[in-house]
Amino acid sequence: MGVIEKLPLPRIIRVPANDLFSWARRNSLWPLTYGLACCAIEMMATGASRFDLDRFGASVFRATPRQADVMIVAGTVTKKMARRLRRLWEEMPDPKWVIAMGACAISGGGFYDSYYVVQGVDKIVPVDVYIPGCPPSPEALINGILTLQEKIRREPAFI
Amino acid sequence: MDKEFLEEFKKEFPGVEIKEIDGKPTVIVDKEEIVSVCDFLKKRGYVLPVSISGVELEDRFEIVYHLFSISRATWCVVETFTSKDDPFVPSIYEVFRGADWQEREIYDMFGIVFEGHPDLRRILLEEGEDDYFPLRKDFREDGSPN
Amino acid sequence: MALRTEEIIVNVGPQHPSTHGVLRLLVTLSGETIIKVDPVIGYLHRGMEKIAEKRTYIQYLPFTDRWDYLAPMFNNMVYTLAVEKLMNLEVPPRAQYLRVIAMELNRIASHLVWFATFALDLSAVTMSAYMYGFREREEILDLLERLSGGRMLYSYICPGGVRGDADDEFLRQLDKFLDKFPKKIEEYETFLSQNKVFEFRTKGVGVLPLETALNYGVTGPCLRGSGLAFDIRKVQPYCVYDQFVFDVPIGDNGDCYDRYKVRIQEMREAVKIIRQAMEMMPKGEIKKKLPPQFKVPEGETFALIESPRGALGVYLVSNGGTKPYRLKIRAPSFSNLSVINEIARGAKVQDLIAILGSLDILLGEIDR
Repeated sequence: MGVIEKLPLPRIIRVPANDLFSWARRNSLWPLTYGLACCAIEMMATGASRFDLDRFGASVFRATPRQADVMIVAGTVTKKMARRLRRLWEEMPDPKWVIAMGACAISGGGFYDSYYVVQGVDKIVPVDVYIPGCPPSPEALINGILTLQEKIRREPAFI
Repeated sequence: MDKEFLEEFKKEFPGVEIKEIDGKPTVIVDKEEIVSVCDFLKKRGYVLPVSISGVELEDRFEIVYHLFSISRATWCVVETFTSKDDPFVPSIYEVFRGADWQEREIYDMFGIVFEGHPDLRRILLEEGEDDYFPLRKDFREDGSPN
Repeated sequence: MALRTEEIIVNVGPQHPSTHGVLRLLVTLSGETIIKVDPVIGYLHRGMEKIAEKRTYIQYLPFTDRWDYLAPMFNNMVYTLAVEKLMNLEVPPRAQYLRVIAMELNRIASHLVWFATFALDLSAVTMSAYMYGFREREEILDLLERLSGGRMLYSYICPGGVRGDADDEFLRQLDKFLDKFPKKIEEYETFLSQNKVFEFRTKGVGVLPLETALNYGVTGPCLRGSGLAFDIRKVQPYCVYDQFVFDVPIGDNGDCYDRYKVRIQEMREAVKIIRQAMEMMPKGEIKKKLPPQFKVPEGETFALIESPRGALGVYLVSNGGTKPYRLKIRAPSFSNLSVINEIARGAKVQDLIAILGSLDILLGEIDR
């Protein structure tokens, strides 16, 4: 995190507020449990014993959008689900981010000619990170979360 | 279906065509008779309604009921037809409760009305769109190469 | 003086942590007692049956993985079985045994996810059972990845045989896994079987009478929990299941605890089957060569197998072309979920989560 100037007294550090807030935000991402299809199982596996998402501060899966920072759209979004997804996104407090996990969430994937699949979640909500794969492996999801943290580091904390 | 049972079935429903398709005895009945045939089969041991499927043929719709007898370990397939202009079939909800959702799904996908079904509405798709029956062969949506 | 009560409707889902996917339940309550449960499904409807009519037989194989994404091997198998039946295709014997090994490994993996999430739903031992379930599942996924190349969705079983042979390293690792897995099952049982909280929440809860189960077409562990030993592997054997010795575990009275017990026991039986298959597996080729765009003779067939959730079937109608004319999926979860109104009626609202969890539904195959 940016420049930390240590003053003679050890208990006081000076840091730009922007850096401090951004540091806090990116290391305590609380995802919304938004498992839709196959990718949800990989998302669960990422949070479980072997991959342990806790190491990156992003494993406090919240069941309610009002406590979540990042929405991991894991799976196929259908037309019936689309309105609900938008509403859940609107209920999340700012600042918020969206990760599109898997081919279906990115572009509809193999269901490109299906009559009931939304061709990409970015048609409904703005997406920050795309994770390709069908389904993406847990390593890929971790990489996506690290990418999101890098993105948060670069953007201003106050607008 | 063993021979003995076949004779009994023929006696009960004379004039019903019985074929063997895919190693399973298949009875082809008029749609008016479907409830009594299913009732008869259920009383004779075909207690498990495994599957009800709709198929669109060239000039009509076909409904296929796959029933399984656990005591005999045999199949019985019942087929019936309905026209495309006014597709309706009597519901077997009163015989097999498992038909509830299966029939709703066929209504959802093909628009076949099941007469006597207590709660016939769309199950997978959302309500409100008329003439939106995706599994029909003439179903065409913008951009989809049907 | 009796208090005046009023019915209220509680909406569970479609985004709810214990609905196992995108299910919505409209629960009518009187006080804490459930009067009616009306499941609303279709939030994951992808039009699988329509897509089948637009793809060739081999192109559709990867889509079968995504019906029931916890047990893709079974979906591959039932689809392959239907195609092979219509084509009258003989499969090399080694492939048949590899199919059984792959399927039974997948059955364990699927039951482990069920175990992990069921314990999590009941918060019996907070997060730890969840972690343990996924620990062993990862080992199975490693094995299956070595066999098929895929971590979660395999497309391993295909018309004509299987894609990928078992090498010595795979067999060695599988042997090691089978040696230690029964001990792990005992470990799970120490968590839950004698856990008083778990017993209170599952024993006598959500009793499913046999008559009702059959009437609704419920199959799999839910039906066996009600006391009927109905297993397609025994009743109408496919692959080489008729050559193995294994038991079909059943429950006594069909409550949530019985369904739990049946699934735990089924994992032990799966280990037995894999052991036998490993011993009996002959050497030889694993796949019959088929052209990429093969034609399937005209006709119709219905294939039925025993998936971890019940009787999984495919009704396939071919008109002699390279694409299916009609493909209907008989999903076990679809029938198993339809019974929830019957068994949840009269229960308390907190039991609904135990009942839903014990049915082990998967929305991917319900909505298709």
